[in-house]
Amino acid sequence: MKHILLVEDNPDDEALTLRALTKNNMLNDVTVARDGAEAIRLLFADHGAALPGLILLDLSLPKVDGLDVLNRIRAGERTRLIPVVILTTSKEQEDVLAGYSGGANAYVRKPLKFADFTEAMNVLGMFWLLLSEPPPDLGGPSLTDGASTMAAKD
Amino acid sequence: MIAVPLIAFVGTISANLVLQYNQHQARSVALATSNLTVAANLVLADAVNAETGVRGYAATGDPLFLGPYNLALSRLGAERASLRTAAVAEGDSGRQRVVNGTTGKVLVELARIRSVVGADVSGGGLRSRLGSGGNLRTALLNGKKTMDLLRGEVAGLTAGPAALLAPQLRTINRLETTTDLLDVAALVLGLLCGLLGVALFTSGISRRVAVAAANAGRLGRGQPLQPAGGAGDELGRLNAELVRADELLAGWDARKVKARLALLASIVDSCDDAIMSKDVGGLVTSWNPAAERIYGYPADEIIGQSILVVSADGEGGQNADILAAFARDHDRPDGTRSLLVEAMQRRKDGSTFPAAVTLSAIHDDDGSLVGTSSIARDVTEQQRVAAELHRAAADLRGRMDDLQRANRNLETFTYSVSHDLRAPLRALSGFSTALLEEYGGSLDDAGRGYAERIDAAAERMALLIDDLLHLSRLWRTEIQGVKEIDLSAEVAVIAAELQRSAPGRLGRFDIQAGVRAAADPVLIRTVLQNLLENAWKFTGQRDEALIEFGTTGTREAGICCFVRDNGAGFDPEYVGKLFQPFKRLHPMCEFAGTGVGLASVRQIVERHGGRAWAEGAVDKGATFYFSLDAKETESMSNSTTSGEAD
Repeated sequence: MKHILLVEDNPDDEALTLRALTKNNMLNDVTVARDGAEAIRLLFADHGAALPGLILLDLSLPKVDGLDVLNRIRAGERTRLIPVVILTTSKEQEDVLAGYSGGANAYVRKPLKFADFTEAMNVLGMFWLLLSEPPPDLGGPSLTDGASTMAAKD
Repeated sequence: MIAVPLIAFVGTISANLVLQYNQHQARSVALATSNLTVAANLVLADAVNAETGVRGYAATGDPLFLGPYNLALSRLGAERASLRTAAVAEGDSGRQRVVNGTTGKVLVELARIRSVVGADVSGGGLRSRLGSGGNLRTALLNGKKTMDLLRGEVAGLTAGPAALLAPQLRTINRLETTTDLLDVAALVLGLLCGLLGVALFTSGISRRVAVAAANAGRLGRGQPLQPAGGAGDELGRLNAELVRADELLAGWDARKVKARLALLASIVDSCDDAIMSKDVGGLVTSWNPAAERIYGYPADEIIGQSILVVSADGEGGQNADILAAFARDHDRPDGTRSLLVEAMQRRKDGSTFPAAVTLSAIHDDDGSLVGTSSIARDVTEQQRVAAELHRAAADLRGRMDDLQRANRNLETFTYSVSHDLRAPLRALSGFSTALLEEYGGSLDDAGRGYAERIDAAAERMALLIDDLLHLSRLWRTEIQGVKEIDLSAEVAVIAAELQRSAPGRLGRFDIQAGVRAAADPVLIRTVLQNLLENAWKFTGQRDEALIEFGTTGTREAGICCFVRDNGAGFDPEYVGKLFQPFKRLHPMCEFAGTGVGLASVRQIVERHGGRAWAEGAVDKGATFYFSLDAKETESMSNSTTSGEAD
């Protein structure tokens, strides 16, 4: 199973997300980028690195905004088909519209209650990584365990 | 003047008459001469005929030859008389004698020949007669001699008059030419006389007509009339009438002018603006009461002084350029007639004020510039108001900018609230849950209770934040897409949902059918949802909830609807707090809620030009009213009315 790239700057949210993923037994497959720039570096800098099977993207990020990250992903030759789920606190119509317009595959507002949040993480992982047929690989080597290892260290 | 051609004309006519007479005489003489010639030739011709006839008879003895002889002889008598008459007419006595003698001789000879021939014929043959040399031969020879004599005479007679006739004819020709010339001269002279006469007559009449026409024109323009000879003919009478009309008009004019002057004077005197006139040198010539009031100078003091006395900034409307423009443009249809200037004016007490001054040219009857008039108005107040308006506009612009800035700040703020306030709440909720899940065993009941409270509080705050965001969105949302909505149908849908959400509850919804109104569909649904949810919530403690929806009989501004319930009601003392956001009249433990529902209702209804209010009492239920101003289109309010009827 391909790994998940979590783009999240809030440590609390990161911890809660990782905890939810742990509860769903998906922790070993998560890479975390703490701002937009880091996300772009992880996706584009190392051409040899494996690409994630799902990107969970927060919108309000330091340095490079979430929508900009999305645009870069959709513009990249190898990355343009990767499923991107926007996972954010805002449900402002403008944000939802901007997310879908930028090519997001889904837009999920983080549920407040942890139980709901855990459930949401489970559904997302199940759907995008297991149920949904992944897009064809657009080049580059197959996944390695390097990224997972890095996430596990956090 | 006409005498010369007239005398010439008469002279010409007289000369013509004399010439005509002479010509006539000459023609008579010529005629007589020609008559004589003709008569002589006739005599000769018949004499020859007679002689020829006799000779023929003598030669042949045939009496057939005697026909021409007899005929000629019978005519000769009359022809001889004619010849005699012609000779007498010609008046030449010598010729008369010749004529008488010769012709007489001819007649005698002819008679003799006849008798001799007659005897001879009866006596024998021709040869013997001719050869014998008897009487016949002698008679014939004598006859020939006489005939020759006659021929000579006639030739003489004919030649004489022919010679005589030539000078006569020349005289006639000469006279005719002269007469023709005189005729032409007379014609020309006559024509000349006629023309001159007509010209003289016409010039006299037309001069008087011109005078009459000029007088009519002058009468029209009100100018004095020109004297025009007192002849008693039609023109004279016409002029007299004009003079009379002139006198009549003069009387009227004087009255009209007087009335008009009085009117103008009253306008000028009662005007609130200063009205003044100046001559071209800028000396004041008139000064109305308003000018006295405004400037402080009485008329008799200022008249004759320079207008510059009241000018605080120089020219005082006496600018040479302006005067030149006025003088120049008098005859130009698009030229400068008047102009409006703003000028500082000085009162008698030395104080100054701004004035709007209208300057106009004054021309005399000939069109030359004789001065200017000014109408001045004190615009101090106007300028003050204008300045104030300007300040107010600037102030308003400033406020608008502030408002726009505030709006932008509010947007940033709400976005920040939406994003950044929720994150810590999620942490509160998440970690308190983690605490319970992972360390629940280490905590006693109180500890677990605290962790649960943290979770609940976080959840409640999240709700508050969501409602706050919802409300702020309402404040910012513009009403759009107003359509006619079937409110009854919307209410029925919401009622069904509420009932489904709590299957155990007993509730009755009484919904008036066909209530329609023009509104934003999404927003009006929010209103109905809030009011019905409220009613459903506050009837939760009733055995059977009764919720009604309908329109009131009296309606204000379009349509007025109500939602009534038999629920907990409220204390009317606090009705004012009902529609304020986050104000609650009931304890949280009794009824959940954040207190923004009714605030949203009021916000939306007011956005629709309506109003929301409530009636109720504790434990007596509550009724919430809202009106919508459905004035968007006529057809909508009409159908609303019909909806209300049932």
